[in-house]
Order: sequence, then C-alpha cells, then structure tokens
Amino acid sequence: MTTLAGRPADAAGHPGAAAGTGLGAVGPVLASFAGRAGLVLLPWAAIVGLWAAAAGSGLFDPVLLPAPSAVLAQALQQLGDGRLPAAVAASTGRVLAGLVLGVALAVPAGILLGRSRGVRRVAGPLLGFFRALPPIALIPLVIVYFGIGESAKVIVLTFAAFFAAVIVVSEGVAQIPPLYENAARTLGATRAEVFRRIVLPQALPHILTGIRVALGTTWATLVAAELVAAQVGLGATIQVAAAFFDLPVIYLGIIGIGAAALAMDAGLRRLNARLLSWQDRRPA
Amino acid sequence: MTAVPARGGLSFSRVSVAYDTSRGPVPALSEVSLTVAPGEFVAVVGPSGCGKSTLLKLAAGLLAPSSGTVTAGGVPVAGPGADRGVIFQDYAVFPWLTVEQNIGFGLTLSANRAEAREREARVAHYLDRMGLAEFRHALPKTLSGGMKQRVALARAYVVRPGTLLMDEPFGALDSQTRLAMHDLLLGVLRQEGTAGLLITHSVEEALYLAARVVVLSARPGRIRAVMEVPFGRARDHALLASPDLARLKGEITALVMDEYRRQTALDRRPAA
Ligand SMILES: Nc1ncnc2c1ncn2[C@@H]1O[C@H](COP(=O)(O)OP(=O)(O)O)[C@@H](O)[C@H]1O
Ligand SMILES: [Mg+2]
Repeated sequence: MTTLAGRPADAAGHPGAAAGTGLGAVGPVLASFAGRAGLVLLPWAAIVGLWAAAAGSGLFDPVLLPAPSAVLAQALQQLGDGRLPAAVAASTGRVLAGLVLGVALAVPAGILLGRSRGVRRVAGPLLGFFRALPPIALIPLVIVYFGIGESAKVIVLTFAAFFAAVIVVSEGVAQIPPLYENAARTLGATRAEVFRRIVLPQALPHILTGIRVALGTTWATLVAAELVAAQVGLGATIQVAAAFFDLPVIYLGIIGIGAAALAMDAGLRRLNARLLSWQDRRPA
Repeated sequence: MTAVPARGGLSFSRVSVAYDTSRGPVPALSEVSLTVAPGEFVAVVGPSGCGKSTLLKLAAGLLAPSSGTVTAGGVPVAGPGADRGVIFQDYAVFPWLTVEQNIGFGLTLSANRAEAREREARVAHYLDRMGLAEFRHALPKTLSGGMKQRVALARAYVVRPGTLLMDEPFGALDSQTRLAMHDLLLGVLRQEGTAGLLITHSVEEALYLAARVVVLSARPGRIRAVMEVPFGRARDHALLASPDLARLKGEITALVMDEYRRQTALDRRPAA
C-alpha cells in the first residue's frame, strides 16, 4: 500500500506539499502525505480485496463474476490496441459538450429564477415536470427529431446537465441574503453594478456546485445517451459487451466511467478551492 | 472651522411602520416625527426591539413607511443612495473582497465617479486611521468582529456621504479602540459637515457624540424624550468625567430602563 501511496506521480501532483519546507521537514511531510494518501486508498483497496476474494472463493461462476485480474487484463489489452483511450475520449467529449451547453443555459436561467419570485412561481412547476423525466425516456423522441448523429447524444446529455444545474443555481441564488446588496446600494451601486459585483460573486459558489452536480448526472446519463447508435464510447462499450455477455468488458466500462467522472470532479474541486478561497468554510 | 458647509439632514414626519408577518402586522414604529438638521448629529437610544434599526432603515431607503413621510436632504426618500452612508449592525463587509477593496468599493461605483481619482489616497488614509494598514490585503474571514466593524466604518466614510446612518457601529470594539473611533468620527463630522443618526446602546456614547439624544419607547417605538446635549461641538475625553455628563446619563438611563421594563413585559405576554 505504502509503495503505491509514495508513487512519484502522486507527489508531483501536490508540489505545494513539499515545496517551501526545510530539508529536514521533507521526511515528516512525505510521511504524513503518504499516510493521508494511504487513508484515501484504503476503501478502494478494501473493495478490490473483497472482490478478488469473492471471485477467488469458487462460490461464484467466473463468467458471472470475473476476477479483478481479468478486468485488468482486459484494460491492458484495450489500452494496448487503443480502444479504451478512444472510448474515454469519445465519452469525455460528449459529456463535456453536454455539460458546457447545459450549464451555459442553466446559469442564466437559474439566476433569473433565483432572483425573481414571479419567475419562480411561473416556471417552477415547469422545472419540476421536466426534471423528473428520465433522459432515457426521451431517447425515442430525440432520435425522431434529431436523428442518430452526435448532436442527438449531446442533446440528451445537455438535458440532463441543464436540469441538474438549474435547480442548484436557482435555489442557491434565491437564498442569498439581501445584506450585501443593501450595503452596496447605500454606497450608490446601480442595479447593473449590484448584479455584477454583488450577486455574481455570491452566485459563483452555487454555479460551481451546480457544475459538479451536473457533471455527476451527465456521466450517469452517458450510457443512455450512447444508446443512440454510438460506435465508440464507454457507454457503447458496455452495451456491446452486454450483447456478448462479456462481463470483464462491462466492468471495465463501468470503472472507466467512474474514474473519468472522479478525475473531472477532482479538477472542479480544485477550481472551487481556488475561486472560493474567500469563503469562511470549516477546515477540510 | 465654521467655514465647512453643513450637509445632509433627515426628517421623519408622523412615520409609522408595521411589519407584515404570517401572524399579522407587527407594529414597530408609531407616529415618529424627528428632524435632523444639516450637519447635526443625533443619537437614538431605547430598549432592544423597540424599532431603532427600523428607523435607520427608513432613512436609508431600505424600508418604506406604512404611513408618514421620510426625507433626506430635503428630498423624499425613494431608495438607498450614496448621499446616505450606512454602517450596518452586522457590518455587511463583503467577504469576497479584501479589506482594501471593501473600503474602496464605493469609489469604484459610477455614482461616485467624480471622486474616483481620490480613491487610493482616501483608502490609504482610512486604512491608516483605522489601524488596518497591515491587513489591507486580508480577507474578512480572517478578521475579528472589531476589525470588520472598522472596515465598515471606513467604507462608509470614504464616499463622504452627506448623512451617516449608524446602527450600533462601535459595539464590537474594545473600549480603547472605541474611544479612538469616537474621536475619528467627530473629526469626520467636523471636517465634512456631515449630518447623522447614531443608534447605540451606550448612553455615554450618545452623549459624547451627539447634539441631541432621542429616547424611543418600548415597541412600537414612539419618541419618549429628546434631550439637548449642552456641550457644544468641542468634545474631549475630559467630558467623560464631568458631573454634567453624569447627571444627563443618569436621567436618560432612567428613561431607557423604564421603557426596558415595559418592553420585557410586552415580550413576556403571549401574542394575541
Ligand atoms: N423584517 C421584519 N419582519 C417582522 N418583524 C420585524 C422585522 N424586522 C424587525 N421586526 C420587529 O420589529 C421590532 C423592531 O425591530 P428593530 O427595529 O430591529 O429593533 P431594534 O433595532 O430597536 O432592536 C422588533 O420587535 C422586531 O422583532
Ligand atoms: Mg437593531
């Protein structure tokens, strides 16, 4: 475990952790870093361990429960022949496109909803209606109206991202207290200045949370979106494998989706920490 | 000294306020009439919950009266404006801006464009006078309550409003800093000819700073008494030990305590 945690790649990912400390401090810093990394890896190791134990116990049919090593072998093979990178790239591209479009629509809509009780009253029920529709149920309609090209998949993902983000942004903005807005107005701020300099900074945390929530929803919708005649992609990989009852590949696709989502979320969390350093948060 | 033109001023004419709540209207002020002349500084004392902050919000234009009229500088109040600077009870220091950016905020707005040139100099001046120079780049989350209160004071002073509206603006300060901030305020009032309304819990503070002290009654607030403060404009710390001040402080405190007892009796009675 500790050898894994001490990988140079991990240390390089956190240059701030070791930089700037005296030489004598590097030892303990590395040790504590390794300790923390070890703690983070622990549940993963436990899951893989349990999985390996279950698969190796002989209690389950190996066709139904492939061993981690079988999935790893599959991963290495698909890495080697380029199928896995192509699938990850295609899916990530779709997710990003859906996320960007969905959030780009959700931010203005969410701010409008959050700022105006009238708009909320009129459009709120509409949101409640559409938000509950599972994207997978829309696929036949999307195919009818938009065909089976790339845009159809992106539209499904945009739908998912929009409704996830708009609810977070509008609820967050609606709960911004009037205190700072009032203070700015007594200093002479116009409506436009209040919006740009008071509302937007306070909306930003909610926008970032909305993006994170939308990111999860968008990845979760990917398999459905790639039902629309996708040749390449993690969701498509899973579907093709399902047709052939190829469980190692199904596991590989699932792990790939989770890992890609986790990596993007980690990036967003860093952005969050950078942009929202002014927030008085409980230390993590 | 007397050459500075008197600015600002307020007038409340038979103003009443009732808050709409789910349990019906809650009267907070009743038939309050009060004038603050240009350049005059008036303090308001009264028991907690009697409507002091409500009075200030009316003048700030953050609340409209249920009846009666409020004017500022002779013009009916229709909303907030840079002519009336407000120091809020809970500071309202912008948490996403540094100390320096908070203090300079007003002079970056289009309403105060004429004075934008002086921003750096004025911000530097108040950073220094408030003892905040060292913290100019600090974010509010790292400041104590007293420091945030000083940021809020400086942020209002920097735009040189004609009228200052101050809601318990010194409450979070230790006693030495408070005295220093009193003297700084007196200096600002003298140099700028500013009018003001000060809400405070401290009768002594009211007497030290104001030309008149208004005592509000228990809720709904009415004017119980208005006391002239006979010390002229020159105020110094020796005043705090004077028998005149002690006598006035005793009189006003007795009135406030009387209203305090009424207010607690009111608060104890279950709502009808
Ligand atoms: N927004 C509001 N809605 C309902 N009641 C309020 C509101 N603001 C103040 N009040 C009530 O009005 C009364 C006066 O409040 P306030 O002016 O804040 O008093 P003070 O500043 O003297 O303590 C209090 O009883 C308070 O509970
Ligand atoms: Mg109050």
